Amino acid sequence: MSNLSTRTLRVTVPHAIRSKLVVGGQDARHEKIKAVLGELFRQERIEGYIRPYDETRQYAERLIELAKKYGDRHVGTMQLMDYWLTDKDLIHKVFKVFVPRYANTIGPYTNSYRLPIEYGKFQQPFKQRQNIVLEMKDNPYPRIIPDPRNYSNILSNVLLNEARKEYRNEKKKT
Amino acid sequence: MMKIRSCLALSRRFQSTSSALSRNHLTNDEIRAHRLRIFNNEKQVQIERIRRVEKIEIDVQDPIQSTKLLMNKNLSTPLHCARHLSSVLVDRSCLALIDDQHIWDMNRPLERDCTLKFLHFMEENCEEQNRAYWRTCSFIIGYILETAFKSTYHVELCSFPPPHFQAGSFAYDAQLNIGDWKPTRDDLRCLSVQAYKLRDRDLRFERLDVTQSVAEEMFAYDRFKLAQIPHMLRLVTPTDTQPRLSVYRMGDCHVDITRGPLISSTKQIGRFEFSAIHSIDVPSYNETMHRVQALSIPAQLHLHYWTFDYLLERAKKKNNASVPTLGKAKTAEKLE
Repeated sequence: MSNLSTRTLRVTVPHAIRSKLVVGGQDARHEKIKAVLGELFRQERIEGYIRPYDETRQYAERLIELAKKYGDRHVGTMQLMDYWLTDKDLIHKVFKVFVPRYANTIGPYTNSYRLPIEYGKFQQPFKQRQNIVLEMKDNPYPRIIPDPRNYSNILSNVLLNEARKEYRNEKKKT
Repeated sequence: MMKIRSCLALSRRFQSTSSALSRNHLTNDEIRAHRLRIFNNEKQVQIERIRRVEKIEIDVQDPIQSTKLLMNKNLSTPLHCARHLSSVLVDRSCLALIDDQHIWDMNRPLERDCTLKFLHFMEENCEEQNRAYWRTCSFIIGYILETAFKSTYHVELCSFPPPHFQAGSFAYDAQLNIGDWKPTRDDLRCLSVQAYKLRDRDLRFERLDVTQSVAEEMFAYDRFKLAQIPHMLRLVTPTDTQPRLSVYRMGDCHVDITRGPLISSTKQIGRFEFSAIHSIDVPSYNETMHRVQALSIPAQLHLHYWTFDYLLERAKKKNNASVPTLGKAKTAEKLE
């Protein structure tokens, strides 16, 4: 594992003290992260409680970065993939789908969006959970945040553009 | 409404080829009532021509919901289709798009099976909607000119130029018969208030295709319109026997000739302010007329009052859009 160099991780790592993911030590934590990773790679857009999902985001990024750098012939990368992805067809998916998709992009390969906190959903009123949506970039679903619309042809903008042109022409003349 | 003016200086009368009836004894209101009566009669005649109610299938494609509707041929309008779907569509759509090609009025009956889309003012391409909106506003200026002045003054409407956004305002050319009258700011504001009253009345714009004889009867007292009628006739459908003229009626108030589609109802007017009245020379009619200019924004678009006033200052300049000209009899598209 020492021959794998690290690149800078391009997702935010908050300074706040992290609460425990699950009870049961490192093994249970790994199980949880493996479960979330599997879901993320399979369905490409998942929602859930922010703590485990934000943490698996870093693992997902790392795995894809390794896959991009070393390819699927590399022993260390394959061992990592084998450990972290319990469904073995997802390993194929990483190399066959994600690596070509993200071949030309550098930055994070996942997006996370905060969902509104729904108060009163749990039995204890003080137990609110901040959920997030975790998605792979360029996934086939419609965008969560829609593209900005083009309003340059509405009447008020058309008139203002004409007025602006006239003002500039006047200024050029004088 | 307007202050009493000093004696009028009548300019030379244009001798039209067709005989315009003398209107010296009639007020503007009576002439308007005459036009509306003829319109109503013709509309009744055209409705009675529909013997059987046939059904057509309309495929409404809207980003929110798409459905297939079974509507009546030559009776149902896109507005009726919108009413089946939602009130948002009824309120905000101003034009309809048939088969992705033809722009259709909201209040014009549908004639065959087609796909329908509703257009509103905030889309990516709203060139057609913008033009239709300014065309409607020019139409409304015509109505306001006819009704705003005291009945001792005869206002003769001529026509309006096609909507031209570079000029910064839309206009109506009319022979006001008022002599040298320079409108003050309060006069213009009085005129603008009339437009806001129209918006509150929520009047619909209906279209009617009439033949030349009916059109000449309708505009028997309007010498300018009579001169324009031969130039505006065209065949509406390939199966039509006679060339027709499209005439629009607003609510039950005003009738005018215009070619293009108008928006759905006056409720969609936002701000409407008269900006200026300039005098123009019209060589085709050998007269000097007045060009009444105004500026308006639909209600769906929001504009800060400072920005609107800035545009209004620009709209006060003389609009250089085409002066009413009578082209050759076959080319009909000089006027709108």
